Amino acid sequence: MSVSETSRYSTRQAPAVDRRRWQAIEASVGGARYLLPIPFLLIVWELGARLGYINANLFPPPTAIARALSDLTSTGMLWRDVSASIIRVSVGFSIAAIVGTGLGLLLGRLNSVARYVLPLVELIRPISVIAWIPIAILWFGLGDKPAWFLIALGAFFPIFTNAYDGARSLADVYVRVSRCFGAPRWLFIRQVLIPATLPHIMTGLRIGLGTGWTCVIAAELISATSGLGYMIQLARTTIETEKVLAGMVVIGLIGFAMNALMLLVERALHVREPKMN
Amino acid sequence: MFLVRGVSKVFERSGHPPLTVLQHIELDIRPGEFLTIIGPSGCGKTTLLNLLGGFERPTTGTALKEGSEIAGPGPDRTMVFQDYALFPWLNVADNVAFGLRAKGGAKDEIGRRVAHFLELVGLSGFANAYPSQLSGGMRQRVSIARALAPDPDVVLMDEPFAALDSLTRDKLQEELLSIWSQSRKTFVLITHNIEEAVFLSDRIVVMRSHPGRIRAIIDIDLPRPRPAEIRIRDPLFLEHKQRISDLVRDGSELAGAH
Repeated sequence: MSVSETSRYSTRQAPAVDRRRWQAIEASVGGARYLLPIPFLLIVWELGARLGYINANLFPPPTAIARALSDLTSTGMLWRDVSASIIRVSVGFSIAAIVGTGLGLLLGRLNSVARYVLPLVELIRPISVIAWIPIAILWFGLGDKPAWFLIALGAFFPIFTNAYDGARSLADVYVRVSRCFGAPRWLFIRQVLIPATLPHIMTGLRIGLGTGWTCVIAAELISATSGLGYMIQLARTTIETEKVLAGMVVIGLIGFAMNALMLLVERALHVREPKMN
Repeated sequence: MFLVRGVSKVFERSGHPPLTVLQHIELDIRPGEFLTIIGPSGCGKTTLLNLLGGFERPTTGTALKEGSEIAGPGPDRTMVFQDYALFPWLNVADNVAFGLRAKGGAKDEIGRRVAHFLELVGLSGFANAYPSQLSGGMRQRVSIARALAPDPDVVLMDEPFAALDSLTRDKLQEELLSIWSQSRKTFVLITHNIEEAVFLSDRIVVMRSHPGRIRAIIDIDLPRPRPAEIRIRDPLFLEHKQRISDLVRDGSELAGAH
């Protein structure tokens, strides 16, 4: 009796477990298959360069780039440049995060003031950060300061716009409740405005960090003596193409990692869309 | 408590003639009473509540609270909203504490009051839950606790039970009655449910629509405490219900003839 029950139990359960495991494998393989173009491209590139179809001086093969990368890491030069760039982006991004979020939330709640400020913002926004480099050098000289300025400028716009939109779309009922209980400004900001707009703010910060990362490289190309942008610019003057490309790969990977990190922070904050019911 | 004299409210609309929502409103609200405003939709009952709450100013006439003009919303007049209007990002305890924090006070005093009012509405075990985890009835209990916590003079309720199923609604009416009689605060409630109005109120203001005017103010002289079953058994209760029903229907028919 008990034996037959056990066997019936196991025959019913086993396929289900198998199926689930198979589905998990299939899911991970299924996700990985979208990455297939990358190794394919690398192999074609490598073969093309080795067989002479591609000019290896202009397109050094992936193996040459990998060698340049390992040289850079072993001498420690890469870490110096990476940390210089990351520190710069941290400073510039922090400035943009504070100013952009603060101003965005403020103007989002003060429509009468926003009317005067928004045209100004929209006039400055289309001027690319690159176009600001000469004036930034004139104002701040060379080094960290122009880079901070340029990063902060580039990151400011997406952060500001998202915070502004978030504050503007704050549901009227929350404002009513705050007024009804006579909530002082700090309480309204801390317990209503910021949590309600947090999804918007986080989106702005994530996009702003990405923009800031592109700005730091641009700034370093011209106005710095360290950092990844400076490194690839220097490698160009010595015609070390594989080093230029190795630097670009690192720039890409770090940018990717930053975006992934911000997505993790967003999830960790457990950002809920404010819902009424 | 409140003195409303000759109040009208006209909303200017671009491209349309102005809309008179309230006209010739005369109303005294006595301290500690349970007053219900009932009427068909479009009778301006929500606008009247908003005037008392300070969210609207009268176009003509005056609305006074304890002798002084109502200039804006204030924590002496807290509100319970139909759609609860809880902050979904704050847990139950923080939602109830909102009005207390707005008033300011020692942290442990706030904690004590929050615990007291959660117990009052039967949600002691849910302090750390989020509104999204609660049923509609429980959310409205949180909203009631939030309104009571800062110790207002008046609690204004805008169709608080309209979104609930009828069983939950009956239960919450009974609880609200016991909360009111313990608190001895003034409660002003809006509803379109006649039974609810008769069961809860000392007086019922019946309104008619287009424009919103007061049709009658009816004393409900049913003895208190009122047991739940009077709603179906008590002949006097049913008589009141019938009378209010006639007045409400009459009010909307008058509007139709307009």
